[in-house]
Amino acid sequence: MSDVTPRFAVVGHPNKGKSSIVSTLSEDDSVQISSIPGTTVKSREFPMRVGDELLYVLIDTPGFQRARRALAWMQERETDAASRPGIVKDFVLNFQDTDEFQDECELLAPLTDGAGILYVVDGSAPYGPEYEAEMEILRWTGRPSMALINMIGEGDFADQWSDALGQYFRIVRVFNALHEHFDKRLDLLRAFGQLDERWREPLERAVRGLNSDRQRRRDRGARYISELLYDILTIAETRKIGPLDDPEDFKEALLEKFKGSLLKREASCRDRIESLYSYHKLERDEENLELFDEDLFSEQTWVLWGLNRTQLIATGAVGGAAIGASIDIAVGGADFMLGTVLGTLVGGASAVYSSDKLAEVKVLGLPLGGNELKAGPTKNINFPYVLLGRALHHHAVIASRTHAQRDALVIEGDTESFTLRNMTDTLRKSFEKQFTAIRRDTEDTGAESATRELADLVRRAMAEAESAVGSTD
Amino acid sequence: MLADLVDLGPELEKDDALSLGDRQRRDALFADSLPGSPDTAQGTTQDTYGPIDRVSAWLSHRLGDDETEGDRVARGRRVISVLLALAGLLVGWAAAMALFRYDGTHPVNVMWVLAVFVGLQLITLILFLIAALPKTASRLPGLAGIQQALVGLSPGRIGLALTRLLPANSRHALNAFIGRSTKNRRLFGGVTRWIVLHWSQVFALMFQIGAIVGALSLVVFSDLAFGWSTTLDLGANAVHRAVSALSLPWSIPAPQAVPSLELVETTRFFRLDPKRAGDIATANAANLTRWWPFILLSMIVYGLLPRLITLVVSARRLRANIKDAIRYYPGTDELLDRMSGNIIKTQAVEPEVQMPKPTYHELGKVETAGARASVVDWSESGLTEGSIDKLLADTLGFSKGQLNVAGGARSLAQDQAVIDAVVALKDGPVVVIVKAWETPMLEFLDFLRDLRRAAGERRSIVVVPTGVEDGAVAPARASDASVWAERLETLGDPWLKFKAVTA
Repeated sequence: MSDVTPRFAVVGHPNKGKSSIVSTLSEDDSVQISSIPGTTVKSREFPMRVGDELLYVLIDTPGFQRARRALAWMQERETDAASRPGIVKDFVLNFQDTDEFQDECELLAPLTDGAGILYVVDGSAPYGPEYEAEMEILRWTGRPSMALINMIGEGDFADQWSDALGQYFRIVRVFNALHEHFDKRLDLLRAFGQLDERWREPLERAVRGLNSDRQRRRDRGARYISELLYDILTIAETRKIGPLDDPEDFKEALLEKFKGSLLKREASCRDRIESLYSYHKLERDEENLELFDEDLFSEQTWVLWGLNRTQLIATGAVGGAAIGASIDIAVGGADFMLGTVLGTLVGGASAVYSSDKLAEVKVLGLPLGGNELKAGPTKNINFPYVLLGRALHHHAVIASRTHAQRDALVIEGDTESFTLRNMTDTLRKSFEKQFTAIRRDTEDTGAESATRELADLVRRAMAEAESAVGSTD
Repeated sequence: MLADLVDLGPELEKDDALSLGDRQRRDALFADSLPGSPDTAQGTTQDTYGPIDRVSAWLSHRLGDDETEGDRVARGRRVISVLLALAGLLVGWAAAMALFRYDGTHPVNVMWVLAVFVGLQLITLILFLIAALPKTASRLPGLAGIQQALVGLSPGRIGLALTRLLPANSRHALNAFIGRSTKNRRLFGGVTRWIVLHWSQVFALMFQIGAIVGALSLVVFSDLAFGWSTTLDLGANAVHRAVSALSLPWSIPAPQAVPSLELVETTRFFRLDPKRAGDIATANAANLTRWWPFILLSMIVYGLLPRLITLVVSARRLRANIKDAIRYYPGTDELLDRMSGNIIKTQAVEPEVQMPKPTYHELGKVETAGARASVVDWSESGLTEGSIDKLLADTLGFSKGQLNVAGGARSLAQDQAVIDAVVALKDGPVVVIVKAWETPMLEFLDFLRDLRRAAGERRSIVVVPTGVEDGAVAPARASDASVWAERLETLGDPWLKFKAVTA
């Protein structure tokens, strides 16, 4: 196993996307990305660790600001090609505590410490001779180097750049920091490994680690979506009202509360999935979930000691039977068990007729019971599919987004079709079976197993959607 | 552990204000202080120093020693358990008083005693077992409905009503928890179900203890006479066989507690024949008491012991459900990942150093048209000479006096030569054309400072960012132009002017 940890300094002109590349590769949206040149003032390390094991380090650096002047200083001291790396080191030592070449010292110091070079240029703008001084300095370091042509804007001068960069750098790649797919990022890491034989093994392990982490995120995302589906199918809002209150007075507020619960639940799932992919407080631009037009309210039920009417009657009957039985026992059965029979009937009947009165009785200032108004759960058969489509679409957008993108997350389009269009009949039937089972399990005795089975189905739906529209990873 | 479940949600919600990096650093640091090997988020809910223990330790660390909402809920639950235990004890004792009542006429009917303290207990035990069947078994048709009804009818539900008797803070905390549980049944459904079932076992066990204590006290402090009576056509042999079967568990360790055939034969009584009852009482006074070891052991073996087991089972199931709820609570996975050693981290460890805010000075206004300008094409913009003439005329109203090229691949000495050439022409503005899409580097600002020093104050220097397309002038992006303007404003040169070629 190699004991050398690969280190790469991301260097180049200011404002050419160095920080965007670092942000994308490190999945860190705390990296400041700004159109103002010189935003990065200090080098900053992004170590990639699996547990405690350090596999590689990316270093974001400030851009060259006085490349020609720095090169001029170095050229004055050059004796031969072999002296160049040492001269670069001397340059850093000479100027690191001064203001004159602050940026150059920041970006060259990691190179003189053995880091590889990842040189970034903007391939959407034309090549210019002003880049040659800094490329020459980088060549003088003697470090393994790769150039990345970052396509920031709409122009395409990649070929022009490639011709120039190929004369200075071992490997030249085109890479779009804002939109590059996950697989391409892994390819880039593998390419780093080609720069130095000793780096190949840790970078391969890094790639494997990132791949399995990606799978873990997908599995977790499926689970979060399945939990959302389960909750949405079972969410209800209840409100206890007095026996003399008119339920119509409370329906509107209860409906708003119910809708709020649904939206909050969906938003919570979104937040969890975004957090899973290392996004924090992303601004989202999407259409709100709309409820279908259905009657969500259920009839009032009696609430007495937490029992509904059926349970109350049963409890009353059992209680009456117990009292009747004790009478039978006391008289030695002389009443031919009539006590038990009558007790059951009386107990049950009294539970029916007296529960109104009992509900009004207060114990310690609190009424014994009353009515309960309930909104939900939704029984619309399409609703879970709408939700599933939205959730899968959101997941696909997040999974393919890069951390260099700083605009609001836009989720648009016919997200319901996203699911229904791509779902096979077999899968849809499996979902329907699960949804039906969840709706029927009103005491949630099978919640955990249902969620697990749903998660499997969601994973299959993710795979089907990706294979139908092209990979998003 | 219930306290942990209650406190977990609010604590995780507080993290919304922290960045992912801050959370990661905080929790990784805490995890390093924990004893034992790191565990992954895929750990089981076994009772080892695993995921649940790590969450519990994290909560203790976060919450400190102050009483929490979770503590109040746990305390409330314990108080209700005690109340149910007392109620069970009382009801059991009262039932024993009623069933073992002997007024000297008819003996205590062993059949009734067995029916209530053994038969009924076994029936309710079976009902509990049905209600407690695992979730996978609840898939049997109709079983889920029966389970729901049984949990609904469970005496443990009285515990929910007893919250009214709790002190205000415990009552509010417990009611809030019940409210949260109702809203999030997927997570909490199992927990509330097993709280109710556990309470029911507390009541049932204490009922049995109360009954045994009541029965024992009557046996010890009064003289009871036992017999058996039934309308059914059962001979003594059949009854003897039945009681012998019931006595199997103690037939070897306590054979004296197994009713003999003689005892069965001699203790049957009929209420219709008071003479016979009296004869039994007179002839078999000592015999009539010999049923009590059998009765007591029946109450213990078939009433008390199973309830001890179901109490332990329900406590364990409750604990397991609480652990599952904690394990699958939204946010727990992420917390465990942060504390785990197996997480992949790629983010920066240190925060970014902020760029110091520069001081901006207003740039001067471009002079009126007609001047002859010295032009510097910085970094070989790519404009043809004709385009440069056109740019001067259209954008500034100037004509070209001389044209020099500086920057780019040229040396510093060549830049200095350009400055010397510009200065040689003592009058007229200096126009520096730059590529709008490139950023203004310190190297360019150095050049402007050197030019200013050489040209003297008051000589107008105009920086013109422009786009270039096929050698001709193209409009610069507004964002690029503003970057240039902002950079130049930091120089504090009142005779420095700026004019971008924009759309």
